[in-house]
Amino acid sequence: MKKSLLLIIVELIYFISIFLLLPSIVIRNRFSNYHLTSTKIIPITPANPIKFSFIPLHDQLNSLSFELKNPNLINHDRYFVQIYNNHQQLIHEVMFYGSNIGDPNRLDLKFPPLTVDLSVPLTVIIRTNSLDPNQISIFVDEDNTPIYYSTFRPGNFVNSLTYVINQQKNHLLSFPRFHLIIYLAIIFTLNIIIIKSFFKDHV
Amino acid sequence: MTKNTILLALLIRLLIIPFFYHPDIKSTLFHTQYLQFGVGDIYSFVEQNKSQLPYNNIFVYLPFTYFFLGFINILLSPLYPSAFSSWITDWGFFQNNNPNLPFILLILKLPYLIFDFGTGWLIYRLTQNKRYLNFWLFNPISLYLIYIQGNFDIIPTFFTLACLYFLSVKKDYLGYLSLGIGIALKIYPILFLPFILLKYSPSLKKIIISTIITFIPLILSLIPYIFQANFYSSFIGSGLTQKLLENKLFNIPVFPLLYLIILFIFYLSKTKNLDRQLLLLFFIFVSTVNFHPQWLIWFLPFIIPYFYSKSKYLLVFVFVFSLLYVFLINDNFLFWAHLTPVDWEFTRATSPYNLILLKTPLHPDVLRSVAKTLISLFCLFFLFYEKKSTSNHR
Repeated sequence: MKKSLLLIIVELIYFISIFLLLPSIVIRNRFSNYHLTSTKIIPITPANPIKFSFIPLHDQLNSLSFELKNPNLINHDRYFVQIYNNHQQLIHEVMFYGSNIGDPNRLDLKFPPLTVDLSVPLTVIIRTNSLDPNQISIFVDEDNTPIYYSTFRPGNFVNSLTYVINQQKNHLLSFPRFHLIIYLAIIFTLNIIIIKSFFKDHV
Repeated sequence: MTKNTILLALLIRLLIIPFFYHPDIKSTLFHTQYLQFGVGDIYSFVEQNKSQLPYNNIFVYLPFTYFFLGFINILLSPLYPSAFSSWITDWGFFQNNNPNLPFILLILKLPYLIFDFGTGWLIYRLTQNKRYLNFWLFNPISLYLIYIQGNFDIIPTFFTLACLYFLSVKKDYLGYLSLGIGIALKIYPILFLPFILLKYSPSLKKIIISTIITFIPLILSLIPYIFQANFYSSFIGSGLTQKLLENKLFNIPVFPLLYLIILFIFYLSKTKNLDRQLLLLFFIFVSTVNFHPQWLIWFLPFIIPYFYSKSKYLLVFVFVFSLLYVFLINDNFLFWAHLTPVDWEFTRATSPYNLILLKTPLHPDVLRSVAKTLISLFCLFFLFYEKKSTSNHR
């Protein structure tokens, strides 16, 4: 009896750990808005700052990532990423150097979580005063919207766990039914056989 | 082997298999799946279609591996979820955000179950020791190496062990043919061949015949590719040979040098203790080669008896530091991202490498060197205490 109970408890702890606890603890920043198609690369110059908008899907925005290119790693100048709300007020500014950029690479700009309104768009402007002819370039689509994605921080452990529970619920519902049923049936059957033989040994 | 032991071992494996992933299983499958579409020469196929393929890396394994794994894929294909083909062709940003992934992995790793239990059976037949079998079935190292790393190294490991089994029951030709299949799948069992020849084929004539038999599968599978430049450019780029020659002392590659020394000692020894020499081979391998984690499985079945020796804790430390060495590689797919089937955002979780870099004044590469040094030290300690306890015993 003790052995079979132990087996079930261990399995439950295993599933709860990998499906709920570990994602809640380990994944601190969650994926939010994104735009991942590009057709060209354009330079960021003082005359041509990059400007795009998005309506945030989650509060506590805490990072923006772009695909950038510093040809031959020559440029070392300063670049600014500015985030404006819909009243055109600057709510956050992040600076990076050309030397932070590879040829090419993804730049992850992290900042303290920002409280944002989920119904109105944010505007992001990437600008520079650099007159270096070897400009940093950015991967954009036909409308000059750059490849980007943002992340948000769900907050404390309870918020994170709540988010993970909702995510896993959707994840579980999207599993292929037939394979899920077969898998659960095999696991269930194995458990029954093993527990039964524990009882047999006990008797 | 009781029924309960097998069922419990199976249950543990089935609980792990769907929820741990490493992209190597996908990249190997991407190439080997072309066998079912009638592609015979995968090296030229990849070269000619590079621009159109969603994944355009070269196929770095031997031709026999392509046919063997391609054939297994044909057998498994009726079991795949319907979204399999979209998953195997998706190499984009969201490729890991796929609810079918756990069940695709469940099917893909089914053959590993057969070779894993087969290896357990061979260990039992070779040693007649239940403890060694239980060690194989329930130790977390082999579970990690086979099902979490998910590479196919357990298959050549099985064939290498099968070689020793056949040799022990005096079926020499079958034994060397089995080793040959292992070599044709992944070249590494060739490291074991000279030791096995010296142990089981003492005369020169026997050595020549056994060597020829061993190389039959490799040679037969290579014949169609001998004049193929694409094959050479693909295969030479593979990791093992480079890794074996990488670390040098006074411009001399350390591993080959030590390998030749222990081979020479084995040649001179009267007892020809193969287990001990394979343990030494394992020690020089983990101490001098920048190994991929899945390569540890090559040696594990042969060194199980030493986990029951007096100095077993020192051997455990060798493995602990070997895993630590692996976890400190700058590759999230060697740590958190294994859990991608559970939550795809594990791919973006902070890896131990980055965590150390961001939160401590230490550099993870320095810590890796420390781990490597500790591996070597514990190998030496083990050999020293083993020798001491053996001489005390005498």
